Amino acid sequence: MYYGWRFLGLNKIKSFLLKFKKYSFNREALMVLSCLAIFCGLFFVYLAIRNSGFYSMQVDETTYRKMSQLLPFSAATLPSYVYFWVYRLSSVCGNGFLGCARLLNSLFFVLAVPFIYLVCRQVLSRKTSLLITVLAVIGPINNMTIYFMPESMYFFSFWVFTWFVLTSLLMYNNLQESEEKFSAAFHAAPYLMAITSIVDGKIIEVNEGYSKLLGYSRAESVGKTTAELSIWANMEDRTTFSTNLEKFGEVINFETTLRRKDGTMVSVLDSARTIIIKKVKCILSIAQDITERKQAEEKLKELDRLKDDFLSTTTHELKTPLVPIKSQSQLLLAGDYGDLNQQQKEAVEMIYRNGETLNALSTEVLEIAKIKSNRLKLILERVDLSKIITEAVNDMKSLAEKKQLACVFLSIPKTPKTLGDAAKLRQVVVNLLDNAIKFTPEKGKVVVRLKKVKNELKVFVEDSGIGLSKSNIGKLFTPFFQVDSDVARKYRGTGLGLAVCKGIIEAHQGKIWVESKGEGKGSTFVFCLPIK
Amino acid sequence: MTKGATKIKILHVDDEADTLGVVKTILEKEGYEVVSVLNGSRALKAVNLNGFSLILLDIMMPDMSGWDLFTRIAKIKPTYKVVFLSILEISEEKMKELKKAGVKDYIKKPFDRDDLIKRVKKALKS
Repeated sequence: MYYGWRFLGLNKIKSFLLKFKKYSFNREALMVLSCLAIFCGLFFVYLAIRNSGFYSMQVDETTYRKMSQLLPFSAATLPSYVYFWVYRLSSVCGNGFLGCARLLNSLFFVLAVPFIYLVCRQVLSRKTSLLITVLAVIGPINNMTIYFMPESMYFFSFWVFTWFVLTSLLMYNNLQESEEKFSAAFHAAPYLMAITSIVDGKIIEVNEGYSKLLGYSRAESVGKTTAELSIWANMEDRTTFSTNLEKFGEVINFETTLRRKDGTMVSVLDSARTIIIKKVKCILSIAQDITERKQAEEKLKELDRLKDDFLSTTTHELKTPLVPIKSQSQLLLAGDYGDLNQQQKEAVEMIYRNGETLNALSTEVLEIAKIKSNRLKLILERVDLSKIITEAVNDMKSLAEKKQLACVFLSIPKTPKTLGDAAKLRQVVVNLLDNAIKFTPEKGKVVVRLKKVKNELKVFVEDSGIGLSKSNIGKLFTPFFQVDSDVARKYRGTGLGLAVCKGIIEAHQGKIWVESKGEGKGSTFVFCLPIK
Repeated sequence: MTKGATKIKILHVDDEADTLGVVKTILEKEGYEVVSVLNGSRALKAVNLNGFSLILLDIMMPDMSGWDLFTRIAKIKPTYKVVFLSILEISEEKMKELKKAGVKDYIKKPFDRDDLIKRVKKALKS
């Protein structure tokens, strides 16, 4: 676009016109003036050509020489030259002056249509550009003077119109104006803004936001590098920042710390991109003060920590009294304090059992609290699920044997390892096995299967136990839900085990559900983990 | 324990008197001599005075945490065997770290009587 205008000599006109900007001419007046000037100029060119004998069609070497003496070749006289050559050629063609000129003029119009449109499109909307283009073409054609005007005049009218359009566009959208707009935005922005040269790293321009944030005045900063002012608190950050900028041409929301003039630090989000100003590659950077946000984040983290502390302290306090309860009832039961009669034994057993429940409950309440507040921290490593299940099954074997249950694990060869928290996954399997054993009558069986389905590992814990009714299946994984049945009452759990399992599996991006054909028909707990 | 032989001395540090009592009862039944102290500073004094074969440490205590106490004891008597006895849940990673630092075991409260005896014996043997 620039070259196009330079080619047409418009840049010179533009800079000439821009001088007028110093005076408080309004833009419209300036535009009209400039167009008049151009028109007059062209009219003089026309007159010159006419007087040179050009109009009388003596298109020979003498005329040409005469004209070139009169009109030195320049962008402004280009139309005349073009016209001259067109006439020369047309006379060579021998089609007759008038017909040929008309034809060629209309050819110029055809060529002008995309040209005008494209130029307009650079700065105007599609609709307006089209309108101007149509006016530019139709205007001169429909002009009645076409029939009265001499041919050369008609030709000029086209150029005048084109130049009119171009100049007005230029005036409306001159660089100065956009520079002004940029400058206004630059200085009024509430953020730190600075322009630095890429070549020597010196600061070219800063805005008020910069002075406000860092404490350096404009005069103190311009001409110095950021290193001289030691603005970057962390030199590593600076290196990363400039490498990224070099690599991608821009950096967005880079979090770093800057040093103020008084030495205090300020946290900022820094963004930058390379721009070209007066043919020099520069960096335009914008930084936003996020100290407050940072402080708020810190506060939130602190609150989080407090909450964590509170949770662990609470469980600690809840469990402390359980230590003597458990141990003393064990000592009583072992006969360390003398033999107990049957009733006493049962009473102490009850104390012991309930102590155990309370212990499990406090552990699981903490777990649930962690899961509910997304604070469940997984220690991820490559784990062999098959090994984890084997261990869990071995742990639960004694419990199963007490009830004469067959407890088997059917694995697959070469289980692919996946990312997971071994201890937590083990807890899930133990929980599921515990449930299965609890709710399966004596001499039943519990089967654990591991399968690989596509990109997932599926674990089935299948029992021949009391099964589940349809209405209970949906509620099973909600905290504190307990199936209301005689067996369930007998083995009263915490009602949190499955909710914990669900939380752990979901933290692994897996799924857990239960299938049952109905009450008394056993149930199968299934969980799947993506292989990662 | 053969009669007449000097009893193996165990130091137990916990801020809960009831817990101290229970552990004392259980371990003394097994023939150990248990010295129970209620806080870290007293524990340090006791460590300086007597030759203990094993130290049982609680973690969450008001004056000095079990971790701090462990590092201090390790400085004074690096040969002492230390077993943590606490309610705090620790991750397997942390456990590995502790083993590297020289901690013999980590028993979780509320403990099982037989389990406690078994693990104390194991720690003493190591």
